[in-house]
Amino acid sequence: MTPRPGRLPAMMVGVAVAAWLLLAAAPATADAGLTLLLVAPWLPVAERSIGGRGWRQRSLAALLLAAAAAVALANLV
Amino acid sequence: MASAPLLLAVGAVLGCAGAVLGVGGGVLLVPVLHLVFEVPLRIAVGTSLVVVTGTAVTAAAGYLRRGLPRRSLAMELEIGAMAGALATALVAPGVPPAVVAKLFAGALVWVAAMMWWRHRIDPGSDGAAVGWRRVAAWSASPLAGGAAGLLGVGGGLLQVPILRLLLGVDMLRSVATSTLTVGWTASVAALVYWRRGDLDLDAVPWLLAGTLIGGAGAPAIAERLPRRALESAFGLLLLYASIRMWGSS
Repeated sequence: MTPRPGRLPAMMVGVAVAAWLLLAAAPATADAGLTLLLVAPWLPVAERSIGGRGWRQRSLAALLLAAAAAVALANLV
Repeated sequence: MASAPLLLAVGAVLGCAGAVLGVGGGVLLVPVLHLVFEVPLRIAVGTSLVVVTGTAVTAAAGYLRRGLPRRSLAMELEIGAMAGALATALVAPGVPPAVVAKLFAGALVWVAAMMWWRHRIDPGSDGAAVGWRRVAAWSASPLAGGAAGLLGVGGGLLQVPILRLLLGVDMLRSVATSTLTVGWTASVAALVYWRRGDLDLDAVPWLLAGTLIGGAGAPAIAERLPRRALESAFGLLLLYASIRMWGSS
């Protein structure tokens, strides 16, 4: 069964917010919740980089994903 | 910062208003955090970027399900938008808060004008732009990203006119495509604010939960409200907030 487009990222946001609210006392929860939240928008791009229509769309998605990953690494590592 | 129930309620009201009126959440959230809760402007912008990311993802899910966003176009424009967002997010600490406040005041007037403009423009048919229009759109995208990185507004307020007026994408697809890019742009800028500690991590989940609840309830409420009157009243509120922002910081 093919998942509905955009469903997984939206679920990730829901899980991130719910966990953040329920486990607010745990120090790592905010970081984990925020990480999930900021990764969620990029799932459709990752999906396009593998299953996009034609090499042009796949390359564009891969380029964008690489740029976002580079920004994340530069900021978080 | 305010108590959790108050933040939840504020998020719900802003999420509902944003969805009913078709304006991005950050446009409403930043002035409320800064002017009402007296949060420093840079923290308000960072906090707003995280909330905008979450709301854009859930809104984009609905559009993706209906196949509305032009994904390739969104990714093309995002390259410039991401560069713009990153640049302004990085230089934000060096920009005086008074300058950011004045730019935000201008953005509020722009949003009020956009609400007026959207109903008067031909919704258009979906077309493909070529030549100088495409180059102009690529050139303008960093501005949209730059607005997101500095003002915490997501960038949709510039992406929609770029898509509709320059690239000839019909109105509904323009909004859907812009919503998709807003999540990407805001998340990149939010990373930079997070690293600097320019976020209120205690407020984010409450505001975001409220915004999601308010956004979900918006369609039912929108049907019962006189839309034009609501837009006029909201336009005046935006102009008032613009004046307050101009004089703040």
